[in-house]
Amino acid sequence: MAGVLYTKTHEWVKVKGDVATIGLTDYAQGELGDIVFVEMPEVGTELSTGDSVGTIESVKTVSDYYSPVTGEIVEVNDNLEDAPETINEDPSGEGWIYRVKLEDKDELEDLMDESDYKQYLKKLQEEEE
Amino acid sequence: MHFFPHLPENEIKILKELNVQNINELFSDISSQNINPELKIPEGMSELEVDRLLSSKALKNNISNVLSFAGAGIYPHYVPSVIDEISGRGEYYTAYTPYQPEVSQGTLQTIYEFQSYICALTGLDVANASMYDGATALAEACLLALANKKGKKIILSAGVHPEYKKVIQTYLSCTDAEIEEVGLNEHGTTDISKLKTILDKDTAAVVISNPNFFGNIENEYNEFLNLKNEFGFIFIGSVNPVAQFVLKNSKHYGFDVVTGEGQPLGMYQSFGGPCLGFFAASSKYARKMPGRIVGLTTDADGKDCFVLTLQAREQHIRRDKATSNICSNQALCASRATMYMSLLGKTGMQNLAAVNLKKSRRLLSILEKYGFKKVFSAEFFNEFTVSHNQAEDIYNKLLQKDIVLGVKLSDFHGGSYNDKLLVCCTENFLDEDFERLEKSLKEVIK
Repeated sequence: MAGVLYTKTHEWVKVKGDVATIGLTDYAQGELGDIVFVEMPEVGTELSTGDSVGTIESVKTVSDYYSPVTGEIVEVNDNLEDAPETINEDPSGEGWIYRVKLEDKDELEDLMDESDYKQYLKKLQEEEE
Repeated sequence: MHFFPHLPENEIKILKELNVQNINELFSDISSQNINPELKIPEGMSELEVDRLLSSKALKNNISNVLSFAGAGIYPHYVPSVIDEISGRGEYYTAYTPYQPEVSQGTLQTIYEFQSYICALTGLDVANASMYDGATALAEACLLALANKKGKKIILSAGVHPEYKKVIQTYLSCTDAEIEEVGLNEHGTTDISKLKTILDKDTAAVVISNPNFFGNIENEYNEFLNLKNEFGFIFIGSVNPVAQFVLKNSKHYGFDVVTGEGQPLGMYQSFGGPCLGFFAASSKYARKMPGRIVGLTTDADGKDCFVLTLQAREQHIRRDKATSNICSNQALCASRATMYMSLLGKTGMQNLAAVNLKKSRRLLSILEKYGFKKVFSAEFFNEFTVSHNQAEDIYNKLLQKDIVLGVKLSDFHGGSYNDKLLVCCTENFLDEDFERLEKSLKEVIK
């Protein structure tokens, strides 16, 4: 996706103005398997880069997801409460998790663009083999 | 791949890594005389000799003539003989949730029914398969609060059982939680105005006991509910299960988590155990609950079946992020409680609670005749605090007559409570018991 940035912990970040929308990548949802529960953060929570935001529970595991940026949570995707499987079905669209009002846009420079992320995934897969 | 931890080459590798020559070096901090000391135990005995020895010791435990009004967390209720009969059956006689649970459908169904009873009893959405005892269940509730809230402060009412407080302190000693206590008012219940002064945004939980340790009913439920709505803490109640049938329930108080001691539901006092902790929460907190949870689902053929559910909460999956390391339950006692509640039914439990109310008031009126005074003005369920200027003397003299007039509060709260006794009365007392008490009091108090 053009204009989308990625983290090593498999979150994507889409920026519009000074608000970033954050979700899990297709690779991440595939690794997790069927997602059954998303522990959502509360609006108003202040996050720093690398903070654990909540947990995602699938039928086989439970993992933390992390904040790629610093800022305040301004919106969360309430639909995930009743339909967590949306992340499996449409990870980069309807499956978004939360939105953050960015404190420091320069931080975005530390994230990967799409081609870097693809390279990163390739490296991960090679290491596994 | 080897699954044995102690292959010789592994040991060598580990010792090398630790930079020690042999395993004994790891124990060098312990003085040698404390390692495998020679035990002073007598020679072996024949079965007959052991039988005689143990029988003679067991005779000293004969309490059949003892009339005890001691409660303080563990109560003298009548245990119907059918409970012993059924719970003693091989199919039920297990201490734990099974480790290959889904093949034990009967055990899982019993636990599921236990959970359903606890939900009905507490008025909350979800209950677990049970815990060790009321104290650890309450401490686990504090862990749940700390896992859900940013705040680090746990406010305990002074009405919480003093031994429960110690267990909570132990549980939280290695966390950064702070425990504060809020005292009681002149009625013997939690002092709401003091509570207001120490509540803040950093408060993760407020913990009360209902009835509280002194027997008093915490009746200001509206005040608690309002404070909870204002400050957003997790409100935890440690309750007496039988009292729930005459008291306002969780909805009125706004409890998020209710725990308690299940011993009154078909367990003997047995000098203090085994006990049974129960734990219920609103569904919002289901994923941070401790212990095992049994769920009802359908199998591949579409038939009902029972499974362990929400296991991603537990430490074998969530590891260090799990809120609790409890991964079993108190299955035998939970089964007994299930049998007890199903035997009595809702009406039976209501009647039981009503008889407890009535008989404990009869006990109070007898004690008042002999100069005892009820210390607190708050209402009580089946236990209350009384004072008498000769309390200690009367207590000791009654003890010689095999009557235990409650517990001495000085044992829990020190010297200023020398004149105070905590006494309880349940359905387990008959006219002849009250008459015996009264006769003995007459002889003792001159």
